Amino acid sequence: MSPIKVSLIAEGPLDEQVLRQLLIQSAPHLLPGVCHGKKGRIWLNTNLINFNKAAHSWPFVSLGDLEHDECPPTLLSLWYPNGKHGNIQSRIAVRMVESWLLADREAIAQFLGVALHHIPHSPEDEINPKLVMVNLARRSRYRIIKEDMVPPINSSGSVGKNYRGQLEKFVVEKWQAKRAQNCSPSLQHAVRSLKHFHPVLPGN
Amino acid sequence: MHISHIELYSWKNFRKINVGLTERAILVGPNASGKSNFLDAIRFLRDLASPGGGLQRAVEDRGGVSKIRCLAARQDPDVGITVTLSNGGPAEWKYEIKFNQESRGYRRPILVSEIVTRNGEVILDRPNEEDKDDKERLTQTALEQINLNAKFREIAQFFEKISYLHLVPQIIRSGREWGALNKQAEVFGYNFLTRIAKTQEKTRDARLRRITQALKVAVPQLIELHLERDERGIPHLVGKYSHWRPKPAKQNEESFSDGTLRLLGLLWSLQEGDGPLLLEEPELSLHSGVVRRLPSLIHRIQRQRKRQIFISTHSFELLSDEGISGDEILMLVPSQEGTQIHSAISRPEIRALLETGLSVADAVLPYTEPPDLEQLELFSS
Repeated sequence: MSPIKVSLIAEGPLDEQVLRQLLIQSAPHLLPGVCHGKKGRIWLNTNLINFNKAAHSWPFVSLGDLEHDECPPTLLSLWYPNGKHGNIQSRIAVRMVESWLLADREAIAQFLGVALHHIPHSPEDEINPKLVMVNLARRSRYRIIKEDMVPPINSSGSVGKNYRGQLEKFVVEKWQAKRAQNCSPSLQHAVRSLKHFHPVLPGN
Repeated sequence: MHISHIELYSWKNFRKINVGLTERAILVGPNASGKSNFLDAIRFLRDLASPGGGLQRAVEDRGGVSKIRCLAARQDPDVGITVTLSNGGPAEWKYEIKFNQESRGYRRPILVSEIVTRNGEVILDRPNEEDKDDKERLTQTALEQINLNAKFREIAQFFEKISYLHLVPQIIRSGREWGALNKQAEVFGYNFLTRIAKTQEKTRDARLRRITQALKVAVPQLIELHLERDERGIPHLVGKYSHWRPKPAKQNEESFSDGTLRLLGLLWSLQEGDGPLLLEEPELSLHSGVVRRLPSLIHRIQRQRKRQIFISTHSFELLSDEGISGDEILMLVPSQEGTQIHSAISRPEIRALLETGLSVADAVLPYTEPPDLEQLELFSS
């Protein structure tokens, strides 16, 4: 059977790459197509409802961060006040997509050039995984990782100038959802749900 | 009158396309998908019909038939354009041209066919008996000859009114010498100031007043805009700007910012003429807040002047306008067999999203993103 084309909806460009890899690695029956959004959390809050309405004729998979929201069910009821259509899968990374990357502990330690014991065992318990990632990059033995991922002194930015570029490279080249899910329940949940996601479309 | 339908055969990126056109058509697609080449096919009709134009000149200006012919075309060597024109109702006129080049000698472009119909009735069908007797006739279209186009002069005049705008600020500022050498210079605005200068004074002043009002929104320091000639008689646009000194400062176009010049060019072109206007990426150099307002601004002027407008764009802000309807969007999709073009609403998934109220920008732009965008993140020296 040929794979089912699904459109993606992502909070940011890094989320898009993670979602693509997740589908390629864990759900080969789904073929990732175009990606909507990538404009942050407020955009998701406003627009997911439209994708839910359109889901009767096209399948969608979304990925957003939990951040400071209480828990995933609260967030889902904010996005889909009248219930979620079966053709849309909304995955939430607890607390940020960086936690899912940190969860592939050996790979991220090697990529960042830090000792394995510095990588948290339970990245979902970190309040600000982005800050954890930047602080790990600070310890890196690779100059390029420090220069790209750590913000310069006096910079108003929270991350370095090529933070996203380095992490996208990591996701595309090194990250394995299968390994990472062992340290991240929300990722494990996502892998399982996507494996069993079989959209029902008109004409099928 | 507007172009309600266009077919292109072996025209640059397009092997064979066939698409309906609305009175405002917005072209979106990845880089190098053929947005400019699509507009160029419409400009080609203008070049055929305009004084000093014609088939030979129009093809020569584009580097010859071999530069126009689609690389994806294999068997069919003919290049062709067919347009249908209508007055809001059913199709009235149809103009079809196909051409090729001589197989030896100067390799001049030669007509393969030229057909004009009105309400289904054939007005012209070439090659005719005279063409067969005198092959030299096939180097010219009937469209470009006043003694042959009498029965369809209306469409020749319509094509002549097509205008194109892709102002390059640097060329407006100092492109006179460059412009004289370059055949395509006009479209980049090298004679823009001359065009303004040639306009009747009363009309010109009225347009410049309106432009100043609109420009003030984007450039609040601007007080006044007028045309002045220097000691050599060369026209210059002069703007008065307010600042901390009691008297306003005067600057001419050489000191205008890129954004000021491009917005000025856009506002002028919208008011000039009533034929189809082709706008190439009108968002360039403009603040996103200004770009958001372009679609409604263009619509207001279009409503007054009843002209068809084609816009090529990559701009999220421009496409965020809620007044843009999915049928106005033409998506260009490159493939091995040349670029395909279709209306955004012909794809069920996009139609479904637009029906939920999602903006064209949010629903359509993701489809124009190159598939391997993350490769840019991996690029380094």
